[in-house]
Amino acid sequence: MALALGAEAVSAGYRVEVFDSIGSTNAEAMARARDGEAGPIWFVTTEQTAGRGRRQRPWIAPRGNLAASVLEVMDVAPGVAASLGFAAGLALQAALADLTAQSEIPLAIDYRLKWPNDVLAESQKLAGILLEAEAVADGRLAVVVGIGTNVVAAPSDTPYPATSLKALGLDVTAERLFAALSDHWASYRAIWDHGWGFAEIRRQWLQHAAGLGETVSIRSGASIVEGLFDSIDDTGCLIVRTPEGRQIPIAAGDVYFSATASAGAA
Amino acid sequence: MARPPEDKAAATPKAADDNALIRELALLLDETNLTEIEIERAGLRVRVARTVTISAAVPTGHAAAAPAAAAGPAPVADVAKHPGMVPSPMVGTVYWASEPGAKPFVEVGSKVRAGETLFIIEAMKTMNQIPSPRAGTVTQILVEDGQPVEFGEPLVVIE
Repeated sequence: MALALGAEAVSAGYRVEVFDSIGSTNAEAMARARDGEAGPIWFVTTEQTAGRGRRQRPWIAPRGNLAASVLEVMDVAPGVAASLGFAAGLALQAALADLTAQSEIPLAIDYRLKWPNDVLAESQKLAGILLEAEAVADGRLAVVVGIGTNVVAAPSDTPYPATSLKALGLDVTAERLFAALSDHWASYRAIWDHGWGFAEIRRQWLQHAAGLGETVSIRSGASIVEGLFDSIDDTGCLIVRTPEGRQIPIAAGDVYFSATASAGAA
Repeated sequence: MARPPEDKAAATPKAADDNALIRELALLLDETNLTEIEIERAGLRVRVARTVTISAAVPTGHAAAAPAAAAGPAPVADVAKHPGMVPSPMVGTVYWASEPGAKPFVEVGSKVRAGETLFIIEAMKTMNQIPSPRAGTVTQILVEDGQPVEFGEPLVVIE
């Protein structure tokens, strides 16, 4: 079975380009946007050799994992594009929930969304999502949403515990996962509606959020903010309530739950 | 601590309204013991913060009545009025380069084309390339690598 879009993605007008192996699906998607590709189109592979995470941390997908980047070219402000990452987390969570429910062996796997848009399974990192946005020639914004999912293998040298669907006992291929993901993406992308539907995205995201109400530490540059993870606001910022009762909105940073962020305190 | 301005030229009703608003926020800051209050009203966004200063940003680019802080010079207000100033289009964390340790996109003295990348601003794991709005020479860089910025905060001056 080859990587292919689901039926709903096709009818929503999506296209797909499949690569046997590629350096980075995100880099390919943005390069094509610069060349005038207006999307919406997916760039997918089951072997990514030079993938990137936040701040260029490597994200390598060994054969069998799914690296999928979707390009959407839109007339939105730069700040709005970030909120699309929450729709991506929900789409992947929904796809995983479907596949888990269809499993021949009954499984109960707890999938959670970690701010801003990682997907955890049983509290371990299963997938990472990275967005890149750049203005293109006609003045619109090219947004690339890169979604990397550990299907058959997870890295072992990460600073946080990681897992794969295979390790969780879920026997699915990257092909089945992509078909389901592309369908749910089309649906959540429509709900998001250029940011106008973010209230609904936010509501659903909070239902699946990891660590809500728990102690959280966010490290951004040299500073660390600690407090309780209260909510996310109407732009997607994480709201931390400090011991003094201040509510601080956080737009970027590394998030640690419970007492795991003591290292490197400035 | 934030202090209302002693505005000699508060002639227009608009400026008087703005001053009243800032004064009200400054009092509220004291009352509530908060360190920062930010509000948005009729196209004017005002943030009042202790130890920092009062900063006002008008998205339309009009020069705002930005009173100086009790202490310290106020070059920021001057830069904010500079015609070559490029404001941040969004809230987030500024990065000078595509990855830590790499060559910055621009430095003081760099000649840039319209559309050329000046910085990356990250918000919620979204890397936004910030393009130069015009061609020119970078004469001032007003943000540090890794610094959080607000909407409208001055990033660079391009002349």
